[in-house]
Amino acid sequence: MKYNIDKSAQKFSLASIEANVPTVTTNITIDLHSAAGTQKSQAVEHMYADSLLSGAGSMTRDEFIGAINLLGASVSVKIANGYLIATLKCRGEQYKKLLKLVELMFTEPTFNSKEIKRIKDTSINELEQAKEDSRSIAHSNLLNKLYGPADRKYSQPIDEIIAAVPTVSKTNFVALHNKVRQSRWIVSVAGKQADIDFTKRFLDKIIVKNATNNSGPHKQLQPKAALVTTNIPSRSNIDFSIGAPIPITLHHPDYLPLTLGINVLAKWGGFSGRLMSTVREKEGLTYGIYGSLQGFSNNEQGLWRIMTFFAPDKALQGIASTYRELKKFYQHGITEEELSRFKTITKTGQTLVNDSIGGMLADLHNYHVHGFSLAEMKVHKDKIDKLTRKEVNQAIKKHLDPRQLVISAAGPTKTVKKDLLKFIKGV
Amino acid sequence: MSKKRTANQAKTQLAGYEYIKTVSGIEEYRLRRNGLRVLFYNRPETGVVTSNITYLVGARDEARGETGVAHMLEHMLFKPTNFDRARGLTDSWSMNFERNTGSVLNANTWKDRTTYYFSYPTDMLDEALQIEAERMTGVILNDKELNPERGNVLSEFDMYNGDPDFALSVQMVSTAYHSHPYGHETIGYREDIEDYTPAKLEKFYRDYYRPDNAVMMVVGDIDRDTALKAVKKHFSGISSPKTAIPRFSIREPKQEGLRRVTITRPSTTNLLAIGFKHSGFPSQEWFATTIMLDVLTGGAESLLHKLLVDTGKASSVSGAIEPTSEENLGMISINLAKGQEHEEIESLVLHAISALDKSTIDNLIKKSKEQILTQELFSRQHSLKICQELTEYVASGHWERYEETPNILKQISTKQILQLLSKLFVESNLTIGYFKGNN
Repeated sequence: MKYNIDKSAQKFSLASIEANVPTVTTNITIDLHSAAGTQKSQAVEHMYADSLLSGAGSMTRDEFIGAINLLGASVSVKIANGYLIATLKCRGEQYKKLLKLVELMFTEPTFNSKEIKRIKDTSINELEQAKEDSRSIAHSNLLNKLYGPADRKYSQPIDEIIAAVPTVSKTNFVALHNKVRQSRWIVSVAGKQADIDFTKRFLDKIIVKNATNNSGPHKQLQPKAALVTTNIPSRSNIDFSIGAPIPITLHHPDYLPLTLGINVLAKWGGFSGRLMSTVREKEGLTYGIYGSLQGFSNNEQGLWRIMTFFAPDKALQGIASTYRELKKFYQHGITEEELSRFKTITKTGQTLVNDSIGGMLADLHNYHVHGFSLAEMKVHKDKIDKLTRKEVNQAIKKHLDPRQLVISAAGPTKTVKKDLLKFIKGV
Repeated sequence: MSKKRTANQAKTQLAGYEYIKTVSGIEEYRLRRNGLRVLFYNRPETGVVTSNITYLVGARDEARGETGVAHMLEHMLFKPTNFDRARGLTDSWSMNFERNTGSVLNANTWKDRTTYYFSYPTDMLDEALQIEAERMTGVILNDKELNPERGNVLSEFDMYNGDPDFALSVQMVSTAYHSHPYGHETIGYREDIEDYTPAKLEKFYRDYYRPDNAVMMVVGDIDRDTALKAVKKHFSGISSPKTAIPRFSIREPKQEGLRRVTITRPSTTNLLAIGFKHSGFPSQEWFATTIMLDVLTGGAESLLHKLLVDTGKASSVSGAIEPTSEENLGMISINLAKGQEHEEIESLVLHAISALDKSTIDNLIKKSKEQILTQELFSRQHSLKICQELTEYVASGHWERYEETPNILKQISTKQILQLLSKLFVESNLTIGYFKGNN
């Protein structure tokens, strides 16, 4: 396997893993955030992926999607938090043909009126369905408390986006599409050398000259502890997203210590986090409780958050148990044993990434998106092993005060709202 | 004896093992002492091994009143064993292994099997296998261990049951099957979960958790001899009971006519589910059914997506078919758009399916095959996914068919799919479910 990151092109940065594998995977990230998101712009972003796949050149939607499917390939596109994220996957021998289709998609999308009407109708139905997705709603409500409306993480209310959908026209899609082609692309590909070369030529054709890095507004708020609820009576559990802003960026010295600290508290996936050991294993209050840092980049500040759910009759007890652990964590930090153990866990995680080319590519792309070179990637990973307990606990004390947390709950919250408000006041 | 035969014998002989066969690089052995079957597959240069033990027991082995006990037992295998207690551990070694090393550790229960897997750096193989061997016989099943874990399972149940799709599918299978144990979901009924006793679980554990009812898979960056020696080291001390493994052959009575079920709950969601009984896995007909379902519900080009989603009648359509060894219920799920009536959409869908002909589906079948072949290629680049897929073939009793998928797909014709549509979508094979939200 041969790793490479080539930032020399003006229009794109290309990372690659050259490997003798029968498949090709290409991950694409484009930062589109340049202004505050309105109801209309978020409606356009919601519909853009479907519009892109709805016909290109002289091909109708059926012909275009059919051509991709006949290759046995997949093309997925979505816009989230101001980023366009696309993934191309296919068998190696089909990659060149796939790129030809994707090139057509980006250079000659049809955006025809019949398809736009269809997309509007289907989008309204999807968004109506999303009103029952209590987990997503809990999380977007949390982000809306921590970030102002100009920030990429802020979501307009679903009903307002639905109301904006009918006002969207072809002009809006074309404007967004032009922006996509005028922005600098971050691309990572895993395949044979020939596939990497095809990818370079493809990018050169579809991204216009003088592609720019977008730099949109970023507005992190510093709210006091608060409770946000959305009552969705049809759900049987209450989904919680509990979090607070951390006013640092990715390369701040506290970032890696916090990463290790959050893993000790609530490592995402598996059973090793403290919260899983206590709130789930010892107390049986929930099926899953995890935490993470999110939304950090070179110039944007992120947050920490805990995600879980409780049955309504266990919600107060579950929250109380969670906070008990968070207080302990904040007051006493991590132990020497935990430091050593989570360094091992991190190392194992890196080894497990090597089990598949897809895992290796995702890991590489994650660093690539944030501008790391291969050498910087290695340094970053090695730094975790050199962390001291003092560094981690200082970072916890500075940034992870549970008294600052916002609790966002979505589900059958009516019966527990009063008690949760009382609880927050007492924290 | 010829040189070639000597070389082959040397390749496949290993003390304590009976060599069974090799299919496309996957080797099968049987531990002579107790009948444990072992599948080995080398994937060099990754530094990772996945070991996966599949017990040939699942929801289908559960009697009335004890639905979900296989799944509950799966949870209990993550609790301390007698061996852990003897070491003075308060938590189980399996959980400590995951917490101390960051290895991937999990399990799942399904209709025909229960599977436990670890994925870890190669040098942890010995520890992983010892854990697996100890919990084959040493799990402690008493109220003290059971009660808190029962709480977790009830949380899991509530999590699923809150989802309209799941709630409807539970009703669908119990309506479709009056006698066969595929008629209840793997997690079981809440009432049964609440009533479990340690004695119930203990009996199930002793009946089914034994070497001659298990298949151990070792896939990854390790040589065969090291892997098999380690398996033998940890498992050959466990005897298989002389008693027979309890197996029940239950024949579902013939379905005469369409079956229906309705759930009404406070919700803005409205679902229509169309269930059809299909052949067991991994028969050619099962794969043909997968293609049929893809043609009907797989993505933007699929027939029901165009009929319902593109026309604004539904917000989504999806299809599901499980790899079970016997006949089971496949399902089409449709999330109705606001203002749509269940009865009208049901009629529209069934009429559309009955009107399908070669010209409509020929191309879609070709595309579906290409998609499945690509997905197979991707999934075989990951030791964990290889084990997960191979597990279903093991549970069906035909692991060697894992390599036959491309050939099976190539043989499926449009004519066969059309015949399948006629066969599966008749009233005596269907169960229709409505989830009605009454917000």
